[in-house]
Amino acid sequence: MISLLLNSNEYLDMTKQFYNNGGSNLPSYAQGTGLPKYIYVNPTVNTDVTFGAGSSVANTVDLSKYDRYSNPIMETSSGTDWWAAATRRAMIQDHSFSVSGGTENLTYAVGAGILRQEGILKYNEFNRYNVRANTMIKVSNKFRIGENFNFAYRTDVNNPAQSEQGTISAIYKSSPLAPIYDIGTSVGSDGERDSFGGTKSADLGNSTNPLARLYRGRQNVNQGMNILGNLYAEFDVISGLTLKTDFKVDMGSGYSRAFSYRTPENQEGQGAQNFREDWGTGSTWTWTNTAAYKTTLSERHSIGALIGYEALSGKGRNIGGTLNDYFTVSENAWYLNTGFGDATSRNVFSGGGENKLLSTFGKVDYTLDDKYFLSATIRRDGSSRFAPANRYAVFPAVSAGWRISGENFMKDNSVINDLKLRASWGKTGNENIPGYNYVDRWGGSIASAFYDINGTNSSSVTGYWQTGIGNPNTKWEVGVNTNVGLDASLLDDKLSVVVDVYKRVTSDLLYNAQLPGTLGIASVPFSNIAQMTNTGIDLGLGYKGKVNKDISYNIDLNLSHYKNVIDKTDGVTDFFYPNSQQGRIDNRLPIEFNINQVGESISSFRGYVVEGIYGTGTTAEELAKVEIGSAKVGGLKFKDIDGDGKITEKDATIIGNPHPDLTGGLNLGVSIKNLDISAFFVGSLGNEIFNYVKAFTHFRQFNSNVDREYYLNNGTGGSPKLNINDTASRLASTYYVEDGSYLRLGQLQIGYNIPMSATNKAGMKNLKVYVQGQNLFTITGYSGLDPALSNANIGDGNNLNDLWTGYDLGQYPTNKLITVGVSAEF
Amino acid sequence: MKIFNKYTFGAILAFVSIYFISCGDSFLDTPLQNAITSDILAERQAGVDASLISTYKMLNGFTNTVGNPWGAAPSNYFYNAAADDTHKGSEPSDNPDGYYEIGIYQWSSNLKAFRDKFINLYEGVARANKTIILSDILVGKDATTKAANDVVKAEAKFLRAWYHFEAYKMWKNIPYYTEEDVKNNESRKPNNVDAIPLIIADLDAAIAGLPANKTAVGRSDKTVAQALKGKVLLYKGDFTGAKAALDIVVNSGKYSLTPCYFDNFNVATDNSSESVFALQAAVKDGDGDGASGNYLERLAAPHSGSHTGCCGFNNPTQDLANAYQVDANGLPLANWNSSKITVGSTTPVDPRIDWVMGRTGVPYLDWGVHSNGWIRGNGWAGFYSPKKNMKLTTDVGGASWNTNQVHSKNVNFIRYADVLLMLAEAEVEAGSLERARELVNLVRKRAGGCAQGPVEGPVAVAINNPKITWAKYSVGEYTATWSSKDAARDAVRRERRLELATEGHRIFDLRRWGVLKPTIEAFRTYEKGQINGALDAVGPVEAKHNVFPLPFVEVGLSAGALKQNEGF
Repeated sequence: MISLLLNSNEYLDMTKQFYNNGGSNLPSYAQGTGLPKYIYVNPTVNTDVTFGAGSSVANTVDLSKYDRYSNPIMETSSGTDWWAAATRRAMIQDHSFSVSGGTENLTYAVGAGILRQEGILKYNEFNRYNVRANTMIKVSNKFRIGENFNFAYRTDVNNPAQSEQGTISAIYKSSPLAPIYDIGTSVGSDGERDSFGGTKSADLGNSTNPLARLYRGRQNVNQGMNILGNLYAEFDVISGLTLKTDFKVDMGSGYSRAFSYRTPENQEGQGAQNFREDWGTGSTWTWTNTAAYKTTLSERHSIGALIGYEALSGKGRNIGGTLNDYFTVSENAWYLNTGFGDATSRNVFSGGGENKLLSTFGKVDYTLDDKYFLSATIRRDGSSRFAPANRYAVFPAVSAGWRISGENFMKDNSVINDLKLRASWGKTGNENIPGYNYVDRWGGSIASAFYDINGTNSSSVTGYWQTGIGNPNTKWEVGVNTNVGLDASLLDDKLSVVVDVYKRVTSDLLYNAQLPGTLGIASVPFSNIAQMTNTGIDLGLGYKGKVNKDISYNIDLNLSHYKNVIDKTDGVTDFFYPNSQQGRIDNRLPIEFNINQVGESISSFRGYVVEGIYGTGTTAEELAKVEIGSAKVGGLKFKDIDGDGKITEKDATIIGNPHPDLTGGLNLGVSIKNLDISAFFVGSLGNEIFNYVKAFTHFRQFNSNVDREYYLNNGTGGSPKLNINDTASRLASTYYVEDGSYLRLGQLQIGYNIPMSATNKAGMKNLKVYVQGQNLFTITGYSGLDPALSNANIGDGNNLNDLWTGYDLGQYPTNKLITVGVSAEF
Repeated sequence: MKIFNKYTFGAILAFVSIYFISCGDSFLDTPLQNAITSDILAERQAGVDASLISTYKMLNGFTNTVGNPWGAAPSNYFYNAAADDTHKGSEPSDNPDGYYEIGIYQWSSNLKAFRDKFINLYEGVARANKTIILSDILVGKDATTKAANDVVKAEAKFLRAWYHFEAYKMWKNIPYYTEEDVKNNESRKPNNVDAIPLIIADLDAAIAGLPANKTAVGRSDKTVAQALKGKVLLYKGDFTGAKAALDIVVNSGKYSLTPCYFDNFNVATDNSSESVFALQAAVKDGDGDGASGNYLERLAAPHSGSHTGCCGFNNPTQDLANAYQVDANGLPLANWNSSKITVGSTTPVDPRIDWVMGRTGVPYLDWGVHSNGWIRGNGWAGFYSPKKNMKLTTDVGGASWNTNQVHSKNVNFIRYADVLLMLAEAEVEAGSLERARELVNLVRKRAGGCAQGPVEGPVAVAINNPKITWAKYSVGEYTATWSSKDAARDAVRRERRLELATEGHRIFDLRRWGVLKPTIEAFRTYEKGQINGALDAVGPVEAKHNVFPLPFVEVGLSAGALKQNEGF
């Protein structure tokens, strides 16, 4: 865990091990007997300072020369706990109310809610406000109209990113020797101290002060509003035949702004104050028209049919700008007008696009004796995202069901109350790719295409380049699903069982895999690159019991297992990589450690296989066989997969995947008179996590701080020795791959319903108070912050984040949450 | 019951008619947004010209589309860390994209830098090829544009040769892409064809089509193409051909050495009489991040304590510093590492040393005196800061990260001194030792033209200026005939190192001279004792190191077309 990083003395000792084990000279701050008094003094302002002299440094420092920007002075910290400095206990308020009612010809429901949520990282908050209204009016016996309306507004302040440059990463990268503040006392606009200290001293890496990042981001806001509404009309033409038209609109706008401050406390400090803001709007309408017919031919036969069509049209537009070198940090001047910064640095950009879908569909249902069910569906979908020749695809589906319990031989079965067998087969489509994928796209920007051909030093001539490669052959991805299921209800409906066994073959998988670099840097198109198969089984068990009239309980268990395998690719290569990994993750390992290969699971981890440690007797010849880095005694020994006697790039192989063997949820509930207790457990078994964070917390990329557990045990129990000159051990390998299995108490709630006699006096129908705890504990062997990973935010908004499942790049951990609540009904 | 009345009929009619209104095939047509097609560009000369401009742009190595591809920096300073002039620098584990591994000969084909270089060079090739295609389309539509487009195509071919040659320098075995490959969607060509004749063919076509003189200072012309051709032939070992091409450049009379060495590294004198071909850098051109400036070069700047504030890479070596020692006649020493050169020493040094590297105690251009605090890793990678790529206080900087890091100083690709020294190499091999000596002396004479000035200015002064207290400068010409071809060759090569230090040539020169292994081994023997750690983890220098490994991923994605270089 992050809170288990090193303090200053441990850090100093760790540094010594790190350098001494490699046979290298110590960095300046570690050369004295103890720690120097000052960790940073600008040597060009003060006379040249040698930190190695330890505390004597203080004698040569003239504190009167301190200047926040040109000459910061930082005292060595006795051990900054950056985790404690950057986090807090946070408060969440969630209020909502709703009113519903109506008459025979008019029903309505209106509601509103307010959510105010502080983040556990300081200066981070999320607020959401929403109102909604639903009404339905019965105009006549045959004609109904209705509407649903929802408005939401949210603000998100200082939302942390999950990346090497994120705040969580800054916490584990920052040295405990760096102080939170320098010796200055200046304050920011809100009166809080802002003379931050940091990693400016040599050999302390490039981390940034996590608290400073958060504080400076306190006015960086991302806000948006969204309106979702539909209006519909239903008309019963004749008995059983209903025409329905539904028009839905989903529109929203979003705004964000971010100001970046000068960071004189950083090793790689930013020297200018820059600002960026973005605004965008988008709307989608969907018009659905259906005709449904339902009739019962006789007691035994019931038939339903539906035909319909649907058109969807979405459009979006955004504009943004940057301006650098702001004259002031004042929020009141955070505008893009050139006077506030360096006029020549202003960059304005905009974008936009549209997408459309057109579908026709039909469905027939047939039921015989309420025991035999048949259903068939066919739909033809068209998408604007494909070239005209590939726009349309047809997706049929059929399903059948047999209620066995309806048969005579089961009629009087006292154990089985209901039993149904289901089977289905069907095709579905996926067209979720960016628009205009099918066409070559050209564009230009100063940064990507302009050139100062006239040698003016300040004026670049317009250039155009092909920004995107089109693929006119890309077509719908098709999933063929086959499913057999069983629903059963037993023991007086106390026990319910749902079992599903399925196979899903996804052909023409849409993927923007990397193409050969000989094509340059134009963005690669989505193509139908592979076929993959998921086979799985889902099991649901539920039991409701009653001890006596006051005590009842329920148990619900869900289990899922699936296997994912890539069956084939387009045939050029038998593997493909996610697009542009290079550039998205700072490549510190360095290898393509996410691969999709025939016969393996999608998004598998790739790297070397650790088979031991190079022991003390290892010869120089043995170490020299490692050609991918400088192997050292005490370092990790990788397996020679191809058997050529050397460790080369060819020895990298698939070393794990994020797909679990089993996932599940367990719901337990007990009700004792007015008291409800419920607990929800969630878990995953057999999934693996690629713990990229170890590149820092074990291998000290960028002189990072170190995981305490690893520091205490390095060189034993299969862990590599701290060694500055071991450049092999840190490469992507099974050392990074950990079992991500976990069991978490997702929720525990204790509620008390105030007795009716008391509530009625207050005019309330129902009043409940409850205490709820979320994520109270997690049982896991995973060494990172949180085994329940959200997807790494590496994608560029093309909905491809799922291809980066299972990579921990500095996860923002799930919060432990205690809620006290009241819910009242009048 | 009457099943249909007029309302139900109307409802059904409406239902059906809506279908035909909304579901026409044209509904799904969504015109391309926020981009244009090549057809539109090919309608006018301006479109074709703009495509050519974007081809020049790739000389910069940076576009803002794929992160920071540091390894694609135009001066090749990443790769030059494998030579004896510079260390990676910074702190031990501050290692962007494999820069450290390059310097210590642990060249995994997985290093990100290799792939960044590869992709960005082939982006240049792709832009050249697409420009040619657009040009042909326009001429097909409008024959009156033929003359203009012949020049466009000649420039595109020059650039295509340029980018391929940069790739050749890196990997030797490279695939060669033309406009026909673009038309055929070819992206997996084998690398088993010698690229040199193809490069020469493109250069000959360029020479035929280019104007005699540049129409804009950043463009190429016949002479520029000849200079590149001479260089390519030198790499091939065709000294006769190289001499012929380089003679054309020299005899053109268009170029001359600037009076002061520093003029080549000064924003104010960009595109001087000595500049043959250079990256035209610009800042404050509307891009706030300085993407048109020396964007990828900026890691190679002094660190925190200095005016740039970051990042402390590319530190010159002690070995290089010592190489600037001269004897009583102002001539370089054959055995330069016999003594360590220090600031304030009375041992005479070539004044170029203080234009090449920032030494503590010596003024650093007009930024005051260089101090140890400007070095990031406390001697881990040496004691000197890079200097040739720094702006003056008075030069305009980019606004983004740190104002003083990004600026508009051009990156010299081919300058006249380089041409003279390449020609000298060819003359030596042709046996014209006296002509070679004459050429080298031109360069040496100019080296004595100026020296780093004192803190109070000016930046450049005469080498005997009394205010110079940190060194005794001296530089002399070779007055005696060289005794042998070997002696001449040594003198020319030594001069090339001193004159072009840290400009990205050294690693490639050592390789083509076939002296990489002995040079690097001798360098390490000395340098390891001087610095504090940067060479602790070096791997052995082997024959395979005469080329870099092709990027692992590219070999894989080529589906067998690219064959990895021997030994990797």
